[in-house]
Amino acid sequence: MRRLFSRRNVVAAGLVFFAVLPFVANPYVIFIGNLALMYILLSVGLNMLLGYAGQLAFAHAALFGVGAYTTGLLKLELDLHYGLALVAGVGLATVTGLAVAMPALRLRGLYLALATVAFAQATLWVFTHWNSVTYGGAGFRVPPLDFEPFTPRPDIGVYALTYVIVLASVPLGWNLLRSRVGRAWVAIRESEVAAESLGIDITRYKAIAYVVSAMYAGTAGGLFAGMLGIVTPESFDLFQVIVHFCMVIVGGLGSIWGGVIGAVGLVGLQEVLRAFRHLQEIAFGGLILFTVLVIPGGAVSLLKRYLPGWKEPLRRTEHDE
Amino acid sequence: MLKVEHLSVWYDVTEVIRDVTFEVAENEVVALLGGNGAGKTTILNTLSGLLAPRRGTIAIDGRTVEGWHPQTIVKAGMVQVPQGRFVWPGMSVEDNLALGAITRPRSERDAIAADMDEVFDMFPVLRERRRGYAASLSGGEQQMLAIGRALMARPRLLLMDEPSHGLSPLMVRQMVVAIRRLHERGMTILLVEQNVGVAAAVSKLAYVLVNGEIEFSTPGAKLADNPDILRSYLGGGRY
Repeated sequence: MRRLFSRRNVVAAGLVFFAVLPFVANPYVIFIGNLALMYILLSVGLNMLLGYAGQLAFAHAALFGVGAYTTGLLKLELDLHYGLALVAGVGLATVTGLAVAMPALRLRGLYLALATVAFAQATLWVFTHWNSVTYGGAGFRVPPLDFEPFTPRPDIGVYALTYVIVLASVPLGWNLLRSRVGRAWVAIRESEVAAESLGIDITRYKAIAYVVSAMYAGTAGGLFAGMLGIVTPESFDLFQVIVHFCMVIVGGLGSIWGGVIGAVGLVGLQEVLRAFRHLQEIAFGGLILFTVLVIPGGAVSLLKRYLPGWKEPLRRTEHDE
Repeated sequence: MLKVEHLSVWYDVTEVIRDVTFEVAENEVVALLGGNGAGKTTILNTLSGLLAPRRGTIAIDGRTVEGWHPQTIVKAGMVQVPQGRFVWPGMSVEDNLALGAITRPRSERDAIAADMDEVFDMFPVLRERRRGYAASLSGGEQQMLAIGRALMARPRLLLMDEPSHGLSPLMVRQMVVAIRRLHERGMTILLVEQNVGVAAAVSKLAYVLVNGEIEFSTPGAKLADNPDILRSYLGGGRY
């Protein structure tokens, strides 16, 4: 029975489930599935920065917004092909991530948190008040996407694109973490002095963490704009920061699979509570508190403890079994 | 090989290392002895580029390296084995060793694999536990891992910060054997210790540090001959 829930089987079942979903489900369920896939990207990217590199940064939702706004505006204003607009969105989010990294590399802990919250709020202010470009608080509609000749349905097209990107991005993240970059991130997270004494270039590897994480956030943002068809500032506010952190913490900090589990689980919870937005905030806050106090390793730590094949190469010793 | 002259290091308004001068010749083991708070680790951290000296010079093979980035110092061949045998507990033994080679170019992949094999030959217990988490190793095994990890950078000069600290007498003896073996292979070692017995067993020359100043130097062998002089404030036995 325990073998049934080994990582290989669960991942295979997940892949099949998300591959089959657009053929059997109604548009609403397809939309939820697409949201879950998109949040997997966000969560895995944030986990690299927060869980592996140990950077307490809150700029992720803002970078997600930069990706969404850039993609949506290029489609709206220039009628650029969605693929090109998405690439531009990822590019600008990545450059913005690098710009955030420059001052953030000198900061740690609380100061880093404060600086990145300030950046997130400033970005939100721009989204809300730069009316001539961002269309202000009401946002804008993204023109319908065209995925011909593959499919006449834009929702299926975005879903398929998101699925393929997740299929490439999660293994990419997994391999990155198994490389010298991942090891350097964990070394820096555990002890910057010890890492530096070994000759690890802390500035370089932290900058890589910010850039990679921004790439994931920007990609998710661009897909979000295409999927929802509307871009408004409230999709990238402080509540989104809480949602992103909740996914990573509840799923498992410092675990790729934790990020995936957190994203899928939290999208499900969000849907259950969709009619009660005020309850969502309480539920997510409570869930973060519960996880930190009761299962600090997140849901994935329970899987690692009780099921075969869930162990990961770089674990957080203070949390895992 | 390593020449330190008139080194002075400050923490804010306090001078913790005062006018320290010493040398480590090629293929020699030199010990830096001192009690708690004498400034031994501060000196090693300054040599590694983690702290900036206020005065004085540090030269490797005639090239002054003070003010260099730690990464550049590692590339120059001087690598520290930190105090408390710091290893990354959530990583496997292999991953910890691979981190030691992080300053080497990716093109040296085969050479890095060969060096890892050499580390495993030197410390066979690490080969047996290569896929296990470092957290599962005993204190002595973690010390071996810390040394092995430093060797992965292909150093010419190893800075060892209290390798015997917290180890059982049996493990300390094994550590002495390991240091001797490294020396036989041509490694130059600056050994920071509180344990006079370990320093006497492996070092050719020992400098005694008191309150951030070098009090005197003496041949390593004479430390063992006159343990009572130092035992009162350094402690330790024969190995």
